[in-house]
Amino acid sequence: MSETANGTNGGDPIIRCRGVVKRFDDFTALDAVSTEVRTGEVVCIVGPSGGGKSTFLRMINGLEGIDGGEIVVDGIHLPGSKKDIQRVRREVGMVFQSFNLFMHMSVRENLILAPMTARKIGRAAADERAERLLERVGIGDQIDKYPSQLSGGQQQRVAIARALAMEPKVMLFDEPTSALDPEMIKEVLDVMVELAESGMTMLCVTHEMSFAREAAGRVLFMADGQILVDAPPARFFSEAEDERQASFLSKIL
Amino acid sequence: MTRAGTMAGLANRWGFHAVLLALGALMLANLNWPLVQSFEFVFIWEYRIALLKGFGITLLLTVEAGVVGVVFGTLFAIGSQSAYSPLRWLVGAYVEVFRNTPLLVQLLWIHFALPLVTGINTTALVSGIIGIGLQAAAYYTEIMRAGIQAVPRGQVEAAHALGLPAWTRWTRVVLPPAIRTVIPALLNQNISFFKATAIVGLGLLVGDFFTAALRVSNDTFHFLEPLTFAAAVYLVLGWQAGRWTLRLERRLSRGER
Repeated sequence: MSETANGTNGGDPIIRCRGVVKRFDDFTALDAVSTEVRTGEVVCIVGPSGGGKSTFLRMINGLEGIDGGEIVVDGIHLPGSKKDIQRVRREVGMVFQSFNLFMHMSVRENLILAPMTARKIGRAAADERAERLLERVGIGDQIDKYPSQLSGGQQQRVAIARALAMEPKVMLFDEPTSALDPEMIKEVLDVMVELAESGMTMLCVTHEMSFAREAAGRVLFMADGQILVDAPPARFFSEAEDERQASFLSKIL
Repeated sequence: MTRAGTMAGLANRWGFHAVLLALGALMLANLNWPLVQSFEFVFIWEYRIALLKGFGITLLLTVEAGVVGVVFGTLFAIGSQSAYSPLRWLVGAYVEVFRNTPLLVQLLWIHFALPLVTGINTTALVSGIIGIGLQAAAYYTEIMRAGIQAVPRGQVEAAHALGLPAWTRWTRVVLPPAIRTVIPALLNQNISFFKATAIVGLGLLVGDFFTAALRVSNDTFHFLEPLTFAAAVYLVLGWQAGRWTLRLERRLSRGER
Protein backbone atom coordinates (compact mmCIF):
# COMPACT_ATOMS: atom_id res chain seq x y z
CA MET A 1 0.00 0.00 0.00
CA SER A 2 2.94 2.30 0.66
CA GLU A 3 4.81 4.21 -2.02
CA THR A 4 7.85 2.04 -1.55
CA ALA A 5 5.99 -1.23 -2.08
CA ASN A 6 4.20 -0.25 -5.26
CA GLY A 7 5.75 3.03 -6.19
CA THR A 8 7.88 4.08 -9.11
CA ASN A 9 11.05 2.87 -7.41
CA GLY A 10 10.18 -0.79 -8.21
CA GLY A 11 12.24 -3.20 -10.29
CA ASP A 12 13.20 -3.17 -13.96
CA PRO A 13 10.64 -2.15 -16.57
CA ILE A 14 8.56 -5.20 -17.52
CA ILE A 15 6.35 -3.27 -19.96
CA ARG A 16 7.74 -0.59 -22.27
CA CYS A 17 5.53 1.28 -24.72
CA ARG A 18 7.08 3.55 -27.34
CA GLY A 19 4.94 5.74 -29.57
CA VAL A 20 2.06 3.27 -29.63
CA VAL A 21 -0.58 4.08 -32.25
CA LYS A 22 -4.01 2.50 -32.78
CA ARG A 23 -6.40 3.46 -35.56
CA PHE A 24 -9.96 2.35 -36.23
CA ASP A 25 -10.54 3.37 -39.84
CA ASP A 26 -10.15 7.16 -39.78
CA PHE A 27 -10.34 7.44 -36.01
CA THR A 28 -7.06 7.51 -34.09
CA ALA A 29 -7.79 5.77 -30.78
CA LEU A 30 -4.23 5.95 -29.49
CA ASP A 31 -1.88 8.70 -30.59
CA ALA A 32 1.77 7.87 -29.87
CA VAL A 33 1.47 6.61 -26.31
CA SER A 34 4.71 6.01 -24.43
CA THR A 35 5.14 4.78 -20.88
CA GLU A 36 6.87 2.16 -18.76
CA VAL A 37 5.70 -0.17 -16.03
CA ARG A 38 8.23 -1.61 -13.61
CA THR A 39 8.04 -5.00 -11.94
CA GLY A 40 5.87 -4.77 -8.85
CA GLU A 41 4.26 -1.47 -9.82
CA VAL A 42 0.52 -0.92 -9.57
CA VAL A 43 -0.65 1.54 -12.20
CA CYS A 44 -4.24 2.75 -12.49
CA ILE A 45 -5.46 4.18 -15.79
CA VAL A 46 -8.34 6.60 -15.43
CA GLY A 47 -10.09 9.04 -17.70
CA PRO A 48 -13.27 9.71 -19.66
CA SER A 49 -14.79 6.91 -21.71
CA GLY A 50 -13.64 6.77 -25.30
CA GLY A 51 -10.22 8.05 -24.26
CA GLY A 52 -8.43 4.87 -25.29
CA LYS A 53 -7.85 3.28 -21.85
CA SER A 54 -9.28 -0.15 -22.64
CA THR A 55 -7.82 -0.18 -26.14
CA PHE A 56 -4.38 0.52 -24.69
CA LEU A 57 -4.76 -2.25 -22.12
CA ARG A 58 -5.93 -4.74 -24.77
CA MET A 59 -2.93 -3.99 -26.96
CA ILE A 60 -0.55 -5.07 -24.20
CA ASN A 61 -1.65 -8.72 -24.49
CA GLY A 62 -2.33 -8.63 -28.22
CA LEU A 63 -6.14 -8.57 -28.12
CA GLU A 64 -5.85 -5.47 -30.30
CA GLY A 65 -3.29 -5.06 -33.07
CA ILE A 66 -0.67 -2.31 -33.00
CA ASP A 67 -0.67 0.17 -35.89
CA GLY A 68 2.49 2.04 -34.93
CA GLY A 69 5.26 2.04 -32.35
CA GLU A 70 5.97 -0.97 -30.18
CA ILE A 71 5.20 -2.59 -26.87
CA VAL A 72 7.83 -4.74 -25.18
CA VAL A 73 6.51 -7.12 -22.54
CA ASP A 74 9.08 -9.06 -20.54
CA GLY A 75 11.50 -8.79 -23.45
CA ILE A 76 9.00 -9.88 -26.12
CA HIS A 77 8.35 -7.33 -28.85
CA LEU A 78 4.88 -6.52 -30.16
CA PRO A 79 3.74 -6.34 -32.87
CA GLY A 80 5.20 -9.79 -33.36
CA SER A 81 4.48 -13.25 -34.68
CA LYS A 82 1.55 -15.34 -33.48
CA LYS A 83 4.03 -17.23 -31.34
CA ASP A 84 5.24 -14.01 -29.72
CA ILE A 85 1.67 -13.00 -28.95
CA GLN A 86 1.02 -16.40 -27.36
CA ARG A 87 4.19 -16.04 -25.26
CA VAL A 88 3.06 -12.60 -24.06
CA ARG A 89 -0.41 -13.89 -23.22
CA ARG A 90 1.02 -16.65 -21.07
CA GLU A 91 2.91 -14.05 -19.00
CA VAL A 92 0.09 -11.52 -18.81
CA GLY A 93 -3.20 -12.29 -17.08
CA MET A 94 -6.34 -10.35 -17.90
CA VAL A 95 -9.56 -9.70 -16.02
CA PHE A 96 -12.52 -8.39 -18.00
CA GLN A 97 -15.43 -6.15 -17.11
CA SER A 98 -17.92 -8.94 -17.88
CA PHE A 99 -15.92 -11.77 -16.19
CA ASN A 100 -16.02 -13.93 -19.35
CA LEU A 101 -15.92 -17.22 -17.49
CA PHE A 102 -16.51 -20.36 -19.54
CA MET A 103 -20.14 -20.92 -18.65
CA HIS A 104 -20.27 -24.61 -19.60
CA MET A 105 -17.40 -25.49 -17.26
CA SER A 106 -17.29 -25.75 -13.48
CA VAL A 107 -15.19 -23.28 -11.53
CA ARG A 108 -12.49 -25.94 -11.22
CA GLU A 109 -12.45 -26.59 -14.98
CA ASN A 110 -12.23 -22.86 -15.63
CA LEU A 111 -9.13 -22.71 -13.45
CA ILE A 112 -7.25 -25.80 -14.63
CA LEU A 113 -7.84 -25.52 -18.40
CA ALA A 114 -5.13 -22.96 -19.22
CA PRO A 115 -2.42 -24.29 -16.86
CA MET A 116 -2.91 -27.81 -18.23
CA THR A 117 -3.05 -26.93 -21.93
CA ALA A 118 -0.98 -23.74 -22.26
CA ARG A 119 1.55 -24.48 -19.48
CA LYS A 120 1.39 -28.29 -19.74
CA ILE A 121 1.33 -28.88 -16.00
CA GLY A 122 -0.22 -32.10 -14.66
CA ARG A 123 -3.77 -32.53 -13.46
CA ALA A 124 -2.82 -32.95 -9.79
CA ALA A 125 -0.67 -29.81 -9.77
CA ALA A 126 -3.38 -27.86 -11.62
CA ASP A 127 -6.03 -29.00 -9.13
CA GLU A 128 -3.82 -28.06 -6.21
CA ARG A 129 -3.18 -24.64 -7.74
CA ALA A 130 -6.90 -24.09 -8.41
CA GLU A 131 -7.84 -24.95 -4.83
CA ARG A 132 -5.11 -22.71 -3.39
CA LEU A 133 -6.09 -19.72 -5.57
CA LEU A 134 -9.79 -20.06 -4.81
CA GLU A 135 -8.96 -20.06 -1.10
CA ARG A 136 -6.88 -16.95 -1.69
CA VAL A 137 -9.81 -15.09 -3.32
CA GLY A 138 -12.10 -16.36 -0.55
CA ILE A 139 -14.36 -18.83 -2.40
CA GLY A 140 -12.65 -22.18 -1.86
CA ASP A 141 -16.03 -23.79 -1.16
CA GLN A 142 -17.42 -22.95 -4.62
CA ILE A 143 -14.97 -25.01 -6.66
CA ASP A 144 -17.47 -27.51 -8.05
CA LYS A 145 -20.20 -25.00 -8.88
CA TYR A 146 -20.92 -23.53 -12.29
CA PRO A 147 -20.43 -19.81 -12.93
CA SER A 148 -24.18 -19.27 -13.30
CA GLN A 149 -24.63 -20.44 -9.70
CA LEU A 150 -22.37 -17.66 -8.39
CA SER A 151 -22.95 -13.96 -7.75
CA GLY A 152 -21.25 -11.39 -9.97
CA GLY A 153 -18.66 -10.63 -7.30
CA GLN A 154 -17.87 -14.32 -6.90
CA GLN A 155 -17.64 -14.77 -10.68
CA GLN A 156 -15.17 -11.92 -10.94
CA ARG A 157 -13.07 -13.42 -8.16
CA VAL A 158 -13.08 -16.73 -10.05
CA ALA A 159 -11.95 -14.80 -13.14
CA ILE A 160 -9.06 -13.28 -11.17
CA ALA A 161 -8.09 -16.74 -9.85
CA ARG A 162 -8.31 -18.14 -13.40
CA ALA A 163 -5.85 -15.52 -14.64
CA LEU A 164 -3.54 -16.09 -11.64
CA ALA A 165 -3.53 -19.84 -12.30
CA MET A 166 -1.20 -19.16 -15.24
CA GLU A 167 1.23 -17.57 -12.73
CA PRO A 168 1.51 -14.42 -14.82
CA LYS A 169 4.13 -11.74 -14.32
CA VAL A 170 1.64 -8.95 -15.02
CA MET A 171 -2.10 -8.64 -14.43
CA LEU A 172 -4.33 -6.40 -16.54
CA PHE A 173 -7.72 -5.34 -15.19
CA ASP A 174 -10.24 -3.85 -17.64
CA GLU A 175 -12.86 -2.11 -15.48
CA PRO A 176 -13.21 -5.17 -13.26
CA THR A 177 -15.95 -3.72 -11.04
CA SER A 178 -18.03 -1.80 -13.60
CA ALA A 179 -20.52 -4.63 -14.18
CA LEU A 180 -21.02 -5.39 -10.49
CA ASP A 181 -23.80 -4.47 -8.12
CA PRO A 182 -22.53 -1.92 -5.56
CA GLU A 183 -22.51 -4.37 -2.66
CA MET A 184 -20.17 -6.70 -4.54
CA ILE A 185 -17.56 -4.16 -5.59
CA LYS A 186 -15.72 -4.26 -2.29
CA GLU A 187 -15.12 -8.02 -2.28
CA VAL A 188 -13.41 -7.74 -5.68
CA LEU A 189 -11.42 -4.64 -4.73
CA ASP A 190 -10.24 -6.37 -1.54
CA VAL A 191 -8.81 -9.18 -3.65
CA MET A 192 -7.11 -6.64 -5.91
CA VAL A 193 -5.62 -4.77 -2.97
CA GLU A 194 -4.30 -8.03 -1.52
CA LEU A 195 -2.79 -8.86 -4.91
CA ALA A 196 -1.15 -5.44 -5.13
CA GLU A 197 0.33 -5.83 -1.64
CA SER A 198 1.74 -9.22 -2.60
CA GLY A 199 3.93 -7.47 -5.17
CA MET A 200 2.04 -8.33 -8.38
CA THR A 201 2.63 -5.96 -11.28
CA MET A 202 -0.81 -4.57 -12.12
CA LEU A 203 -2.35 -2.30 -14.75
CA CYS A 204 -5.91 -1.38 -13.92
CA VAL A 205 -8.38 0.57 -16.01
CA THR A 206 -10.84 1.58 -13.35
CA HIS A 207 -13.41 4.08 -12.18
CA GLU A 208 -12.81 3.15 -8.54
CA MET A 209 -10.90 6.19 -7.32
CA SER A 210 -10.72 4.76 -3.81
CA PHE A 211 -8.75 1.81 -5.20
CA ALA A 212 -6.47 4.09 -7.19
CA ARG A 213 -5.83 6.18 -4.12
CA GLU A 214 -5.22 3.20 -1.84
CA ALA A 215 -3.33 0.72 -4.00
CA ALA A 216 -1.81 2.49 -6.99
CA GLY A 217 1.77 3.68 -7.16
CA ARG A 218 0.97 5.77 -10.25
CA VAL A 219 -2.13 7.08 -11.90
CA LEU A 220 -2.24 7.64 -15.66
CA PHE A 221 -4.91 9.98 -16.97
CA MET A 222 -5.87 9.17 -20.54
CA ALA A 223 -8.04 11.25 -22.85
CA ASP A 224 -8.20 11.66 -26.63
CA GLY A 225 -5.82 8.73 -27.13
CA GLN A 226 -3.00 10.23 -25.07
CA ILE A 227 -1.56 9.96 -21.58
CA LEU A 228 -2.05 13.52 -20.36
CA VAL A 229 -1.01 13.02 -16.74
CA ASP A 230 1.30 10.51 -15.06
CA ALA A 231 1.47 11.14 -11.32
CA PRO A 232 1.43 9.41 -7.93
CA PRO A 233 -2.14 9.23 -6.60
CA ALA A 234 -1.61 11.75 -3.81
CA ARG A 235 -0.57 14.41 -6.31
CA PHE A 236 -3.02 13.26 -9.00
CA PHE A 237 -6.06 13.79 -6.80
CA SER A 238 -4.89 17.00 -5.11
CA GLU A 239 -3.53 19.19 -7.88
CA ALA A 240 -4.72 19.02 -11.48
CA GLU A 241 -1.97 19.74 -13.99
CA ASP A 242 -4.23 19.49 -17.03
CA GLU A 243 -7.51 21.18 -17.88
CA ARG A 244 -9.25 17.93 -18.85
CA GLN A 245 -7.95 16.25 -15.72
CA ALA A 246 -9.45 19.06 -13.63
CA SER A 247 -12.80 18.71 -15.39
CA PHE A 248 -12.69 14.90 -14.99
CA LEU A 249 -11.87 15.12 -11.30
CA SER A 250 -14.59 17.68 -10.67
CA LYS A 251 -17.14 15.22 -12.12
CA ILE A 252 -16.11 12.13 -10.19
CA LEU A 253 -14.97 13.43 -6.81
CA MET B 1 -46.56 -28.49 -15.89
CA THR B 2 -48.28 -31.83 -16.44
CA ARG B 3 -51.54 -30.01 -17.04
CA ALA B 4 -49.98 -27.65 -19.56
CA GLY B 5 -48.33 -30.67 -21.14
CA THR B 6 -51.65 -32.49 -21.46
CA MET B 7 -53.28 -29.39 -22.90
CA ALA B 8 -50.52 -29.02 -25.47
CA GLY B 9 -50.80 -32.72 -26.23
CA LEU B 10 -54.54 -32.42 -26.74
CA ALA B 11 -54.17 -29.39 -28.98
CA ASN B 12 -51.48 -31.22 -30.89
CA ARG B 13 -53.64 -34.32 -31.31
CA TRP B 14 -56.72 -32.32 -32.25
CA GLY B 15 -54.72 -30.27 -34.73
CA PHE B 16 -53.48 -33.45 -36.32
CA HIS B 17 -56.97 -34.91 -36.40
CA ALA B 18 -58.33 -31.77 -38.03
CA VAL B 19 -55.75 -31.97 -40.79
CA LEU B 20 -56.53 -35.62 -41.37
CA LEU B 21 -60.26 -34.91 -41.47
CA ALA B 22 -59.82 -32.12 -44.00
CA LEU B 23 -57.65 -34.30 -46.20
CA GLY B 24 -60.09 -37.16 -45.82
CA ALA B 25 -63.04 -35.03 -46.86
CA LEU B 26 -61.14 -33.79 -49.90
CA MET B 27 -60.31 -37.32 -50.96
CA LEU B 28 -63.76 -38.73 -50.27
CA ALA B 29 -65.29 -36.14 -52.55
CA ASN B 30 -63.12 -37.30 -55.43
CA LEU B 31 -62.85 -40.94 -54.60
CA ASN B 32 -62.99 -43.69 -57.17
CA TRP B 33 -64.90 -46.19 -55.03
CA PRO B 34 -64.47 -49.32 -57.17
CA LEU B 35 -60.71 -48.75 -57.11
CA VAL B 36 -60.67 -48.28 -53.36
CA GLN B 37 -62.59 -51.49 -52.89
CA SER B 38 -59.85 -53.25 -54.85
CA PHE B 39 -57.10 -51.96 -52.46
CA GLU B 40 -54.62 -54.77 -52.07
CA PHE B 41 -52.05 -54.05 -49.41
CA VAL B 42 -51.04 -57.68 -49.59
CA PHE B 43 -48.40 -56.60 -52.17
CA ILE B 44 -46.59 -54.67 -49.46
CA TRP B 45 -46.28 -57.85 -47.43
CA GLU B 46 -45.11 -59.85 -50.42
CA TYR B 47 -42.31 -57.37 -51.10
CA ARG B 48 -41.42 -56.85 -47.46
CA ILE B 49 -37.80 -58.03 -47.85
CA ALA B 50 -37.11 -55.68 -50.77
CA LEU B 51 -38.82 -52.81 -48.93
CA LEU B 52 -36.80 -53.46 -45.77
CA LYS B 53 -33.57 -53.56 -47.76
CA GLY B 54 -34.54 -50.28 -49.38
CA PHE B 55 -35.32 -48.82 -45.99
CA GLY B 56 -31.83 -49.84 -44.85
CA ILE B 57 -30.31 -47.81 -47.71
CA THR B 58 -32.54 -44.85 -46.82
CA LEU B 59 -31.38 -45.02 -43.21
CA LEU B 60 -27.76 -45.37 -44.30
CA LEU B 61 -27.99 -42.24 -46.44
CA THR B 62 -29.80 -40.31 -43.69
CA VAL B 63 -27.28 -41.18 -40.99
CA GLU B 64 -24.39 -40.63 -43.37
CA ALA B 65 -25.69 -37.16 -44.28
CA GLY B 66 -25.86 -36.35 -40.56
CA VAL B 67 -22.42 -37.66 -39.62
CA VAL B 68 -20.54 -36.41 -42.69
CA GLY B 69 -22.48 -33.17 -42.53
CA VAL B 70 -21.67 -32.45 -38.89
CA VAL B 71 -18.00 -33.45 -39.13
CA PHE B 72 -17.21 -31.55 -42.32
CA GLY B 73 -19.69 -28.78 -41.57
CA THR B 74 -17.86 -28.14 -38.28
CA LEU B 75 -14.45 -28.14 -39.98
CA PHE B 76 -15.66 -25.81 -42.73
CA ALA B 77 -17.37 -23.53 -40.21
CA ILE B 78 -14.06 -23.23 -38.35
CA GLY B 79 -12.44 -22.44 -41.70
CA SER B 80 -15.05 -19.74 -42.32
CA GLN B 81 -13.80 -17.97 -39.16
CA SER B 82 -10.18 -18.06 -40.30
CA ALA B 83 -8.08 -14.92 -40.50
CA TYR B 84 -6.72 -16.31 -43.80
CA SER B 85 -9.08 -14.88 -46.40
CA PRO B 86 -8.56 -17.43 -49.24
CA LEU B 87 -9.78 -20.13 -46.86
CA ARG B 88 -12.87 -18.07 -46.01
CA TRP B 89 -13.64 -17.52 -49.70
CA LEU B 90 -13.18 -21.21 -50.44
CA VAL B 91 -15.64 -22.22 -47.72
CA GLY B 92 -18.06 -19.50 -48.85
CA ALA B 93 -17.90 -20.65 -52.46
CA TYR B 94 -18.41 -24.26 -51.47
CA VAL B 95 -21.46 -23.43 -49.38
CA GLU B 96 -23.01 -21.26 -52.10
CA VAL B 97 -22.47 -23.83 -54.85
CA PHE B 98 -23.97 -26.72 -52.94
CA ARG B 99 -26.84 -24.79 -51.40
CA ASN B 100 -27.88 -23.05 -54.60
CA THR B 101 -27.94 -25.94 -57.05
CA PRO B 102 -30.57 -28.71 -57.01
CA LEU B 103 -29.57 -31.92 -55.26
CA LEU B 104 -30.63 -33.90 -58.35
CA VAL B 105 -28.28 -31.90 -60.56
CA GLN B 106 -25.42 -32.40 -58.10
CA LEU B 107 -26.06 -36.13 -57.93
CA LEU B 108 -26.16 -36.63 -61.69
CA TRP B 109 -23.11 -34.42 -62.14
CA ILE B 110 -21.15 -36.41 -59.59
CA HIS B 111 -22.23 -39.73 -61.05
CA PHE B 112 -21.93 -38.99 -64.77
CA ALA B 113 -19.79 -35.87 -65.25
CA LEU B 114 -17.21 -36.17 -62.46
CA PRO B 115 -15.81 -39.52 -63.72
CA LEU B 116 -15.08 -37.82 -67.06
CA VAL B 117 -12.92 -35.31 -65.19
CA THR B 118 -11.27 -37.64 -62.67
CA GLY B 119 -11.28 -40.90 -64.59
CA ILE B 120 -12.67 -42.68 -61.52
CA ASN B 121 -16.04 -44.36 -61.90
CA THR B 122 -18.21 -44.72 -58.82
CA THR B 123 -21.19 -46.96 -58.23
CA ALA B 124 -24.60 -45.32 -57.91
CA LEU B 125 -24.63 -45.80 -54.15
CA VAL B 126 -21.16 -44.30 -53.70
CA SER B 127 -22.13 -41.34 -55.89
CA GLY B 128 -25.25 -40.92 -53.78
CA ILE B 129 -23.25 -41.06 -50.55
CA ILE B 130 -20.80 -38.47 -51.88
CA GLY B 131 -23.55 -36.23 -53.24
CA ILE B 132 -25.80 -36.08 -50.19
CA GLY B 133 -22.71 -35.83 -47.95
CA LEU B 134 -21.42 -32.82 -49.89
CA GLN B 135 -24.75 -31.06 -49.75
CA ALA B 136 -25.23 -31.89 -46.08
CA ALA B 137 -21.77 -30.48 -45.28
CA ALA B 138 -22.77 -27.21 -47.00
CA TYR B 139 -25.98 -26.84 -44.99
CA TYR B 140 -24.36 -27.92 -41.72
CA THR B 141 -21.51 -25.45 -42.29
CA GLU B 142 -24.04 -22.62 -42.15
CA ILE B 143 -25.72 -24.04 -39.05
CA MET B 144 -22.41 -24.54 -37.24
CA ARG B 145 -21.24 -21.07 -38.27
CA ALA B 146 -24.35 -19.59 -36.66
CA GLY B 147 -23.66 -21.63 -33.51
CA ILE B 148 -20.04 -20.51 -33.37
CA GLN B 149 -21.02 -16.88 -33.80
CA ALA B 150 -23.56 -17.21 -31.00
CA VAL B 151 -20.82 -18.03 -28.47
CA PRO B 152 -20.33 -14.83 -26.44
CA ARG B 153 -17.39 -12.86 -27.82
CA GLY B 154 -16.00 -12.37 -24.32
CA GLN B 155 -15.48 -16.09 -23.77
CA VAL B 156 -13.45 -16.34 -26.97
CA GLU B 157 -11.43 -13.29 -25.89
CA ALA B 158 -10.81 -14.86 -22.50
CA ALA B 159 -9.52 -17.98 -24.25
CA HIS B 160 -7.14 -15.81 -26.30
CA ALA B 161 -6.05 -13.81 -23.25
CA LEU B 162 -5.20 -17.02 -21.36
CA GLY B 163 -2.92 -18.02 -24.23
CA LEU B 164 -4.87 -21.24 -24.90
CA PRO B 165 -3.60 -23.18 -27.93
CA ALA B 166 -5.97 -22.92 -30.92
CA TRP B 167 -6.97 -26.61 -30.63
CA THR B 168 -7.99 -26.15 -26.98
CA ARG B 169 -9.77 -22.91 -27.74
CA TRP B 170 -11.93 -24.59 -30.38
CA THR B 171 -12.56 -27.97 -28.77
CA ARG B 172 -13.02 -26.84 -25.17
CA VAL B 173 -14.25 -23.25 -25.27
CA VAL B 174 -16.04 -22.54 -28.57
CA LEU B 175 -17.51 -25.77 -29.93
CA PRO B 176 -19.24 -27.21 -26.83
CA PRO B 177 -21.62 -24.27 -26.35
CA ALA B 178 -21.91 -23.77 -30.13
CA ILE B 179 -23.03 -27.35 -30.76
CA ARG B 180 -25.40 -27.26 -27.83
CA THR B 181 -27.08 -24.19 -29.31
CA VAL B 182 -27.60 -25.70 -32.75
CA ILE B 183 -28.52 -29.30 -31.92
CA PRO B 184 -32.23 -28.72 -32.75
CA ALA B 185 -31.33 -27.03 -36.04
CA LEU B 186 -28.98 -29.91 -36.92
CA LEU B 187 -31.68 -32.48 -36.26
CA ASN B 188 -34.31 -30.56 -38.23
CA GLN B 189 -31.88 -30.35 -41.13
CA ASN B 190 -31.34 -34.09 -40.93
CA ILE B 191 -35.08 -34.69 -41.22
CA SER B 192 -34.91 -32.77 -44.50
CA PHE B 193 -32.11 -35.04 -45.67
CA PHE B 194 -34.14 -38.10 -44.63
CA LYS B 195 -36.75 -36.95 -47.17
CA ALA B 196 -34.10 -35.99 -49.73
CA THR B 197 -32.88 -39.60 -49.83
CA ALA B 198 -35.86 -40.26 -52.11
CA ILE B 199 -34.27 -37.90 -54.65
CA VAL B 200 -30.99 -39.79 -54.38
CA GLY B 201 -32.93 -43.01 -54.86
CA LEU B 202 -34.82 -41.92 -57.93
CA GLY B 203 -31.97 -39.94 -59.46
CA LEU B 204 -29.30 -42.63 -59.18
CA LEU B 205 -31.44 -45.76 -58.61
CA VAL B 206 -29.57 -46.74 -55.47
CA GLY B 207 -32.38 -49.03 -54.30
CA ASP B 208 -33.55 -46.94 -51.35
CA PHE B 209 -36.96 -47.31 -49.72
CA PHE B 210 -38.75 -45.10 -52.23
CA THR B 211 -37.34 -46.89 -55.30
CA ALA B 212 -38.22 -50.22 -53.66
CA ALA B 213 -41.81 -49.03 -53.35
CA LEU B 214 -41.75 -47.94 -56.99
CA ARG B 215 -40.46 -51.38 -57.98
CA VAL B 216 -43.45 -52.95 -56.26
CA SER B 217 -45.66 -50.71 -58.40
CA ASN B 218 -43.86 -51.64 -61.59
CA ASP B 219 -44.04 -55.34 -60.83
CA THR B 220 -47.66 -55.43 -59.79
CA PHE B 221 -49.11 -52.55 -61.86
CA HIS B 222 -50.58 -51.24 -58.60
CA PHE B 223 -49.53 -47.65 -57.94
CA LEU B 224 -51.90 -46.54 -55.24
CA GLU B 225 -50.95 -48.96 -52.49
CA PRO B 226 -47.12 -48.88 -52.61
CA LEU B 227 -46.89 -45.12 -53.07
CA THR B 228 -49.44 -44.43 -50.35
CA PHE B 229 -47.59 -46.79 -48.07
CA ALA B 230 -44.25 -45.08 -48.84
CA ALA B 231 -45.72 -41.63 -48.18
CA ALA B 232 -47.18 -42.84 -44.88
CA VAL B 233 -43.82 -44.23 -43.74
CA TYR B 234 -42.02 -40.94 -44.51
CA LEU B 235 -44.79 -38.99 -42.81
CA VAL B 236 -44.86 -41.00 -39.61
CA LEU B 237 -41.07 -41.11 -39.19
CA GLY B 238 -40.49 -37.49 -40.16
CA TRP B 239 -43.29 -36.30 -37.91
CA GLN B 240 -42.08 -38.40 -35.00
CA ALA B 241 -38.48 -37.22 -35.42
CA GLY B 242 -39.72 -33.64 -35.48
CA ARG B 243 -41.53 -34.22 -32.18
CA TRP B 244 -38.39 -35.65 -30.60
CA THR B 245 -36.41 -32.69 -31.82
CA LEU B 246 -38.92 -30.28 -30.34
CA ARG B 247 -38.82 -32.09 -27.01
CA LEU B 248 -35.01 -32.02 -27.01
CA GLU B 249 -35.08 -28.32 -27.90
CA ARG B 250 -37.33 -27.61 -24.92
CA ARG B 251 -35.13 -29.61 -22.60
CA LEU B 252 -31.98 -27.86 -23.81
CA SER B 253 -33.50 -24.41 -23.39
CA ARG B 254 -34.76 -25.35 -19.93
CA GLY B 255 -31.22 -26.29 -18.91
CA GLU B 256 -29.92 -23.01 -20.32
CA ARG B 257 -27.75 -21.17 -17.88
